[in-house]
Amino acid sequence: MNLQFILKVLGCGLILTGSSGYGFALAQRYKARLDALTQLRQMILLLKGQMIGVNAPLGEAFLAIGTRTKGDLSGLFRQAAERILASPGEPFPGIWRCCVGALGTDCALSSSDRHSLAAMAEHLGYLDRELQEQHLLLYLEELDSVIQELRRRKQDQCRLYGSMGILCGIFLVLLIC
Amino acid sequence: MSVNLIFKIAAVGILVSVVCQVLKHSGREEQAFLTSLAGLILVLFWMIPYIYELFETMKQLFEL
Repeated sequence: MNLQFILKVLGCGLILTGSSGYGFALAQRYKARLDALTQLRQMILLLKGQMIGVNAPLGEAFLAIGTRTKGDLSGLFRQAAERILASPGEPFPGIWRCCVGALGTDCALSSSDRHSLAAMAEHLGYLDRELQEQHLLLYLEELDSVIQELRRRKQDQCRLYGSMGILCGIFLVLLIC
Repeated sequence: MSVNLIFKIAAVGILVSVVCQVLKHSGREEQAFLTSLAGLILVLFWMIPYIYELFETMKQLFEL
């Protein structure tokens, strides 16, 4: 076995590993998105409870939820609460949009999820309690339908990403060799 | 023309059929069609020099 052959085999192995890894990473990202949306749903339910049940002001409600939960989304809620408490006169929709826009790429939410999340707060902070509750319930329904769809397609999508990653790797190896 | 080319074409054929089946099973028929088209184009790309050589040889043979 000469050096050239060994290098070829190593190169093919690296290509195969890379593309399979990318496929599995996409599958993991899909699962992470589902987990993030499920967590977001729970946090919105807690927010509804804080605002409607406990009658807490917006800043305190967001802070309470942000401290009780973990992860990127709890950071988002804590950041929004800090900004509300720091600048009381600023309208909440603008604050929320800034905070959602500042969510990093580590957060598994897709761009459409972020857009819906930013739009969720359009009617919070100034309408009466019942209307705010209606808006939160509407957003929760939207979240539920997205979560249901993701759960329904989870197995197929994850298998597809994994198998396509491996097959594309094999295809690239064939092209190069 | 080496035997490796025949093996490569066979491997591409098997791979494309597997990928098409996986994509069709997932409900992505358009992507399955595009994959088979891509495989066909790739194999034609490999074969074109030899087809050209075949026609040149025939022209020389029959002095056309």
